[in-house]
Amino acid sequence: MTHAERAGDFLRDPERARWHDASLWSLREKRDRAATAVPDWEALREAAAAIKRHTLASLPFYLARFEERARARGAVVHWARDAAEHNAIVEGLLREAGATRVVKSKSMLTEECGLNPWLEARGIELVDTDLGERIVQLRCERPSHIVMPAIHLRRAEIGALFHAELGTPEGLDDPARLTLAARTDLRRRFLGAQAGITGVNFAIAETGGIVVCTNEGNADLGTALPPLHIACMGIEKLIPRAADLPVFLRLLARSATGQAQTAYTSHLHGPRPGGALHIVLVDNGRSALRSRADFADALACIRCGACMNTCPVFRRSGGHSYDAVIPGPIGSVLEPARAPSAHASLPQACTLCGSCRDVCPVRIDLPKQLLAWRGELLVHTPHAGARRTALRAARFAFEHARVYAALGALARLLARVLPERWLSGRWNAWTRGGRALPRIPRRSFRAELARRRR
Amino acid sequence: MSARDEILAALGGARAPHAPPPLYAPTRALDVDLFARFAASLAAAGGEARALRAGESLADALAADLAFASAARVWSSLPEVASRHPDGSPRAPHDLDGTDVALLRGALGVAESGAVWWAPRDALERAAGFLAERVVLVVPRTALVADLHEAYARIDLGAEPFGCFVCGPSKTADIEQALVIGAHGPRALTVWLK
Amino acid sequence: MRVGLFVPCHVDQLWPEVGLAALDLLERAGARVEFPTDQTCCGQALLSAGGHDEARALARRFARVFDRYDAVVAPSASCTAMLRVHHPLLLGGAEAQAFAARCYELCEFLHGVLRVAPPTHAFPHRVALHAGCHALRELRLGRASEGGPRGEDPVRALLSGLRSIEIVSLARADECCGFGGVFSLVEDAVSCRMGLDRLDDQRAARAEVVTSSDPSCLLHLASLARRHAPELRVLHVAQILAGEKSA
Repeated sequence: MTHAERAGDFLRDPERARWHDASLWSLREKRDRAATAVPDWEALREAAAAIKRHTLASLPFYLARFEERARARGAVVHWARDAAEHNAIVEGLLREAGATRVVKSKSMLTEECGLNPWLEARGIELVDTDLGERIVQLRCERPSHIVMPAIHLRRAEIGALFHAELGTPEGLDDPARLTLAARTDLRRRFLGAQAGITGVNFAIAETGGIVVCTNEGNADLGTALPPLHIACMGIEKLIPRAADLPVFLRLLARSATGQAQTAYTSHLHGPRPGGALHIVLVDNGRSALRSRADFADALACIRCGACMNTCPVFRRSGGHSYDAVIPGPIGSVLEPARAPSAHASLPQACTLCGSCRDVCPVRIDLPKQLLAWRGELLVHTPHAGARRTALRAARFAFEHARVYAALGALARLLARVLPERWLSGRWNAWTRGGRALPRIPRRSFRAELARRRR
Repeated sequence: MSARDEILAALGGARAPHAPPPLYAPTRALDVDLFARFAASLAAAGGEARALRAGESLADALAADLAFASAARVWSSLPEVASRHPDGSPRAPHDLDGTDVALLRGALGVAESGAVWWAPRDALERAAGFLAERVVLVVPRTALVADLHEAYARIDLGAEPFGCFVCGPSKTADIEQALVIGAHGPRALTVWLK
Repeated sequence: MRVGLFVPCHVDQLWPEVGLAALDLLERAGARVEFPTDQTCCGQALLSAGGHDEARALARRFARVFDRYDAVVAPSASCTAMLRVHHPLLLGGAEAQAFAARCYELCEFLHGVLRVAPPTHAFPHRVALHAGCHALRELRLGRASEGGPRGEDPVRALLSGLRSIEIVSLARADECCGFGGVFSLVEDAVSCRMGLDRLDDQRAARAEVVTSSDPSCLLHLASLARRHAPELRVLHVAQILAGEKSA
């Protein structure tokens, strides 16, 4: 199925689609208010963009430095070429520690690597502790947004889920009481966990430390209690110096949810006394993307989700219509690199309005990359042959003014003369969604002009 | 070739970079009442900032706080206030579950966001800060800074294995964007400035 | 100054009134305007559909047709963005950059270059100004609500002199209308939903007229309005400025 087909399904429930759009728009408005309150917002974006580009350009240097400094603090650093290697490393560490009860805080990287199904298939119980992730885990579905995983769900649906899975009273749908039920359940799991897995928001080369940001405190509960902490990160998460952190931190939460800062910004330098910290550095296609001039910039992403909140298409189609680990504008740039054929429809799920570019805290030119993908992925789109032919035919027509004018006149004649039934059939993508045909003029501009000047 | 070598090779080897961009210099408003700004930011984050009056001790202020007075289990990192461990002194992080109030020392406060830098001394204090129902952070009033740039300039990052900016109580809006204060961690946070 | 008038293919074929209004406005402003008849299309739709090579060929042809002019003016912000932003990227080189700098959207040219006094005839209507994304986020003729670089909005400036005009406030000042070129066909469900949401916003503001500097947005909105909001009149800003009384 393409994004367009899934989006069509999503829109078949107009009330839900309207509600989803309004939820995400309100996040966009919160972000606007937060950004306006920071007088040097644009300068911060510029600085963040420059720091990321610099770091990515010298990535091997900073990775080597980070590894050296992290190890000096007592962390163990592992390297994984791809998802399978990452999963095997994590599994190995858990087995070594005899850990079969594991808690995990939000990590899009582990989602990308398919860690959950991997470990579950091997008898390791893995509980996602971010409330939104816990909800989608219990529903056996993917997160629909990288920051708000359950934003596609109404409270009644979550209430029904918790009634089935956590034993909450039937019909209870109050968010505060549902959250309390999850709190109680997860508190048990934190206390019983033998290992905690987290993602990494930023890794600091200079100090060898990692930074994890949450609102719920779940990453901290998952790492303050069990003795083993495994931190999984994509190699692009590096920044050079501690003094660069505030640039990103001042942008991150404001871009994501409109908050000035997340409730917890935790900095880990080596394991806690008596514990172990393992950091897994993952490539999984990042070095390849970095070598592509057209798309390398996408690695600057700090996973704030602002592009999703502002995207008029995302808001009206939902994250699941992208059928990818990361949806929305940034997902539509990253995912085709991983699987061009599977994700060929994603760069077309876009009007190129440019709003995502304006909200991106690290100034990734998303529309430019989406346009570049369209050329590359043409061969993978449905009816690619017909599209190619149509493009060549259009080029021919537009290269010959008289051919163009004649075809235009013919098309207008047919549109005026043929019965509407024929013109507005299911085949006509212009009228299918509820548009009438435009009013068709008798004469083109050039014909009118010629008449005038006679 | 090890994974490490392969990845570094794919990235083109470890050459030293050209100089990184200069450290960012923020725009700062002058004449900002740091306490007022901090209090407003913290309130927006679901917490509460209070100032000790001249001559008032923390112990006095807490004694007047009914919730604190009636708390059965208290973890205190402050010498002037005693802990309450009716079940015996905690020996492992898990023992801190059930703590009603954690009294912690904050090193500085950030006016722009309402965050407080907290570097727990040990694994027990760290666990207390996340397991407690309510957290009280005490910060010297002179240790208020305008923004995170100033904060990081003052922090010796890495001196402790764990340091955290705490900005209000734990929270979530994962259910229909409805803000719920008190997610998995503490449900209330008060910062006393003395 | 020799001005080459570029009438985009969809205006030429589907909305000649807009081309005529643009011509009238430029002539009234004293410009020496020509319409080179061998012009066809800027190639935007082909680029948007993934045809980079085809778009490049049309960009080359476009430059040949219009090279002799001091300024190229088009009553379409999206086509102008294609000329100013994408043609130089497709063609490369200093010559392409220099040519791009001579390409203007109509209102931008009238207000910013010719500095015409805004017309003062009566237009006693509530008008919804649709901020096209190409005008706003590529050409920066205005300021997007999400931030970013700001510029002056020449459409608003030129409409400001009309007697009794009332420009209404919209709930979402500058959300995309959903046309997006090929998107309107490939993702027709989302495209129509976006367009209908714009119309709902405009109707909630009790607008009688919807206008924009982008005829492609307007054709999409007009096609939806014909079926769902027939009371709304959709006019290109050139038609309003030129004093046309009917759509």
